[in-house]
Amino acid sequence: MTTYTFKIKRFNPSEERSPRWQEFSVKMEPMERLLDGLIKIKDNFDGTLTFRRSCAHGICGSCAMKINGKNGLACQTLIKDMPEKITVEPLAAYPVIKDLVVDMTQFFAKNEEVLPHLINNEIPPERERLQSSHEQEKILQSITCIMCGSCTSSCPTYWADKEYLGPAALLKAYRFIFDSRDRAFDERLGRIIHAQGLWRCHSIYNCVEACPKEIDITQHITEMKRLEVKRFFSRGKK
Amino acid sequence: MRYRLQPGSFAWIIHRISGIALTIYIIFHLYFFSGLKDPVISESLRKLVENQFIKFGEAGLLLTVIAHSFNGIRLILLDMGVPTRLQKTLFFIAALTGGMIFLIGAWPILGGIH
Amino acid sequence: MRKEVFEWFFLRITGVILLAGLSLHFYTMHYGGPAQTGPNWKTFNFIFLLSAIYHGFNGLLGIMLEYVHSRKLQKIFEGVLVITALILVGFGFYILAA
Repeated sequence: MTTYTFKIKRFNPSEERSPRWQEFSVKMEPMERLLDGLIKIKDNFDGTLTFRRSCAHGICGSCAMKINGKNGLACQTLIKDMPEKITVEPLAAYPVIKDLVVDMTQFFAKNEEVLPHLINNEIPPERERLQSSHEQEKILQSITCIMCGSCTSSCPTYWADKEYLGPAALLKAYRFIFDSRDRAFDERLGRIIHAQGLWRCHSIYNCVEACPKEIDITQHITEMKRLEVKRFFSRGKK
Repeated sequence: MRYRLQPGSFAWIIHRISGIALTIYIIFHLYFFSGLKDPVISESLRKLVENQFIKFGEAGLLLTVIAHSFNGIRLILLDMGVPTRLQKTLFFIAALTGGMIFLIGAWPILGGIH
Repeated sequence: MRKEVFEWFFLRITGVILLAGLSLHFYTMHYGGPAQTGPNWKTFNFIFLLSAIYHGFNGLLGIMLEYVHSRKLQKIFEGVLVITALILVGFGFYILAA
């Protein structure tokens, strides 16, 4: 057992004017997760500490937060990989509801903008719409997104301009644009190729660093940029 | 906003600052040199260039240009399909080669050894 | 929609032109390269100048649009940038026409 210091950014907007930092000393086993530390604090030190968690196994995306200056999932961060002083903050760029809980309305609104559902008006086959393994591979990485919001909240472009779609929504757009079963290719591209969409990405790679599912988000966005440049030059022809 | 830096975000900050600086520099550069045909202005400019302080400024300009250019090359390569896992490697290659070219380039500007 | 893709692509093209242009420019002005005279050099310098101003001011415009959010202010800044760029092109042509 080693004692770790958790420095947590606390904020209750309905009662406080500005956020404050609070420190807790917690005894932790090396194989425990950061989330266990937060639960210990809530159980033993301060019951008012508020954070989201659900599955605690890196699938629901609820416990995304800024850990030592970098976004990630609390349930996927092992204590043994941490220094003895751990700084925990809510995800940046989203309004704080309380402590580590942020309002993700904006985030999901961006997701809606790119039509996050299959569009195909053809009569469905008797069983499922089939995909070859090659076609599946094309979208394999992008479908593993758990929508935790770590990427969009790590993006300096998004901090500056909340109208920007952000990496998560662009990745979702990719996931359907390159889905062989989808039929709304043009409409989907039309929804992202404006100044506050695809072209706002400046290849900073913070999203790739932050993604707990290790999705190469920038690569996906770049691929769509290249697709659009190709379309630009082939339009006049035919 | 405090967020942990990594080569990609560091390069982005440098790229922005150097880009803004260089564009502002173009304004002064063209403005001053539009007077080059006037012999009096031309003579005073020639004297100015020999000033030691201006020489350091010139070396700084070279560094800014090199930083912006080399990261520019890095970004174009990444746009053309160099995989993301190489973005940091490319950053260090750009910094290293850029730094060497700066030293070689700044030597004659600063006058070398007298 | 077509405007954005063109701008994004052209920013890279002008970037490459600038790299070549700047290398030659530095070589001539600071490291004793041959004087740039003749019509070919003139054409080259015109393209170099236009690339520099396009690249620089488009970059500034992009940064401004990211940090300024009021539509009215955006229009004002855009106007200032475009006018400054045009004046600079004028200055540049005046120097090069000598």
